Amino acid sequence: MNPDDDKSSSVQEESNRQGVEESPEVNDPLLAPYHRTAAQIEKMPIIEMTKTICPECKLIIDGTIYKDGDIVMIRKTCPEHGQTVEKYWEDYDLYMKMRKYNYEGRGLDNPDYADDGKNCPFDCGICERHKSHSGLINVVVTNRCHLSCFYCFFYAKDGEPIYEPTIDELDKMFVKLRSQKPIASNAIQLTGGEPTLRNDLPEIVKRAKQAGFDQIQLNTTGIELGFDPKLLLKLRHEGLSTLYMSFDGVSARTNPKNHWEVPLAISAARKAGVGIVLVPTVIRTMNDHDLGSIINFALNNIDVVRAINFQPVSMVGRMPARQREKQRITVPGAIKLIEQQTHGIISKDDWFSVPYTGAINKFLEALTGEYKYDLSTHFACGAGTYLFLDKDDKVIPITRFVDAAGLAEHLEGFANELEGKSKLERKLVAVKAFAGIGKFIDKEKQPKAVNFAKILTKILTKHDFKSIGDLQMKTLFLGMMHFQDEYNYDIKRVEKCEVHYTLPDGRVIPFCTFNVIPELYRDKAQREYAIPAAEWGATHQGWSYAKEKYKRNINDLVAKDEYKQAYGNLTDYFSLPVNRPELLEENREEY
Amino acid sequence: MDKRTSDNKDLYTKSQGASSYDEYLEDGGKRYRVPYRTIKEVIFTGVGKDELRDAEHAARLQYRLLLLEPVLKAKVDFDGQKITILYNPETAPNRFAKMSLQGLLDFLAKEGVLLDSKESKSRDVDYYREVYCYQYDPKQIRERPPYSFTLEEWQKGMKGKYVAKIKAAESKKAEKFSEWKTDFEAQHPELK
Repeated sequence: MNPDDDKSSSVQEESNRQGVEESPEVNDPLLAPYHRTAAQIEKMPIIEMTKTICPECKLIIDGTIYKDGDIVMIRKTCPEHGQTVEKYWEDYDLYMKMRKYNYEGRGLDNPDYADDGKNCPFDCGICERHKSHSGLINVVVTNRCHLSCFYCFFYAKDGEPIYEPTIDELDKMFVKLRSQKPIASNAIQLTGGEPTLRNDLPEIVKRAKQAGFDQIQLNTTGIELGFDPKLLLKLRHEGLSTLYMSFDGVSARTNPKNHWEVPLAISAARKAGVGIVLVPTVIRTMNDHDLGSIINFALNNIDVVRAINFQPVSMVGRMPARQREKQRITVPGAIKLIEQQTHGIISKDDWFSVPYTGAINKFLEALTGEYKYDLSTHFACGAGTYLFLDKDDKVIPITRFVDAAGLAEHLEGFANELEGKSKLERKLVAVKAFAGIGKFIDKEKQPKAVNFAKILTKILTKHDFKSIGDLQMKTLFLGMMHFQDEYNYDIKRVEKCEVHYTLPDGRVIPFCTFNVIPELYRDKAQREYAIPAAEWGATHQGWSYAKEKYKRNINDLVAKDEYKQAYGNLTDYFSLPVNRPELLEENREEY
Repeated sequence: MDKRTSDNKDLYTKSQGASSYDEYLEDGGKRYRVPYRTIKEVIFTGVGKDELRDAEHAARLQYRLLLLEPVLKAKVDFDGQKITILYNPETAPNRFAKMSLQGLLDFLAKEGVLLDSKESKSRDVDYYREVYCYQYDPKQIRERPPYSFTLEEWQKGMKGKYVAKIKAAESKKAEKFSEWKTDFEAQHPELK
């Protein structure tokens, strides 16, 4: 196995020798890996083996992760349905960099099932095989939605049962999640459907806060909140921390879902003091040209937008191969486009995989003897970086003044040194570790407005993770989270998943089993616990499906000050074509 | 995509408007929607390894069993040569799709696993107590200390201190939040 032994040129030669008919895709480096012969694919350097599923019949089969030029691919062969190849990660070098930070986390000491999980992913709730605790828990509070997006399969269509757990059921779920051992879940996302359609949403937030969750997020279009800022005030008052708001682009064309209402939602969040995470689902050929502009938009609202969480699209459900190939984008694909669109201000080297934080946690845990929140998710699932917006409007990624790789290595080394030491010896090792931290921070290059060394020392010496909150007030966090689908499914990733769902029967299910195998989890459970349409109608007098749907008046919305301010008066941080009058005009069209 | 078989879909559609059976259940003054009451568990042991083919095909059989609307849980254990199925029996008064033991046997036979009902063990299961509530109070199956400590060190003194510290932090957190709420109310009189 030598992944560095790039054989793609010899594969091309062989393809010519065999007289394989060349389609135009073969010359496109992004599409070519889909159009090799089986013999050519066999010869590609193997990086590692995993277990996956056949997208057709769900047979568990071997998955081979291999290198094709600069791209990392996965191939699998079902004895009944043949071979599937899919893009796994669109940059080999970045894959190898991120892979270094992979580590085995802890699952739960009190999992849902005392079961070996041999038939994973068909055995969920969380079993003893699972390797991460619940980092973020999604709780579906309703499947009603005020929109009817054609691509969405989450919401109840007219006449379909309504899934809406009672307050008592939600309470029971919250309490259970807070009793997870050894690390109780501490971040929750209320999701839907559209959660703001529930009249008792403030009460739900209140119960989540009472159960002890520190981070309470609301997954929303922001539409209801934009029109009803008082509701957001109420939610904040009960403990809501963050709006996790869909935002697929800065134009109406890329973001037909809530383009016109986002400015109102931002204004409401600003008044209520609620942070916003913008959540663009990234689809190649649809909105992949808008990534730089999305970051620019967020920087223009940095007082309230705390983060952007880009989500390369998950091709859930059956999809024609050509469409899949065309629209597929992975974490590094999006990272590279951001580099292009920000003209190198945010480069691909600025990103680290989520489990990068493992070294810091390990060190702190070894130092204090207290469990720390683990982010032991698989390295291919997510990545992130911090941007600082300096006084002179300069955007500085954290890695330009922090040697992040060196710092992780430094702390990891000291974490290992702490092992088996007495309390006093641990303190002495810690002093040595802290003394050496300064060399990883270039004070000349750090933003003028931030003393990063001071913040880092606070985190490490006081073990005060609220300092990260302070940091976030002055920065924009960029995250990437790529949820899987049937084509790129990797069971090793699933068993390390830390973004989970919970169900009314108490089970906790990883995101990529819940949504990729909905027939066993999401849909089946929601059918069982949903209220039949007739019963819903009888118990909710005056409610009607049609009445609940949102009707947009574009002319009114574009005339609002918030709209003009949000899209027509942007500072340009990356030499982008912002504030174009023709774009604003185009946004008046209905999409 | 709806992966249920057409038979299954029919069963589900038929059952939708079938009954006015109350799915809500009260326990300790709280109200939960619990779809099932008494369900059935059937266990087949000594299942031929040839019929299960291998661990991967056994897992797929489990997947296929779970696709059946009346099957609530299934475990196909290749090494243990055992199949366990929790299902909604024909006698259940609920609105959901139901199945008989014979129906399950017929399905398994179609999948190439020939079993005899005489070789199975069946029992009634209280869904609420044994399934629903179980997951709300799962057993602790292991204990792992924080990184770099031994279990002995952890259990001897560290754990007690840690648990007390977390408890104190939780109550301090609640107190601080309550103070913050009062301030927030003062800043936003429109909340009243």
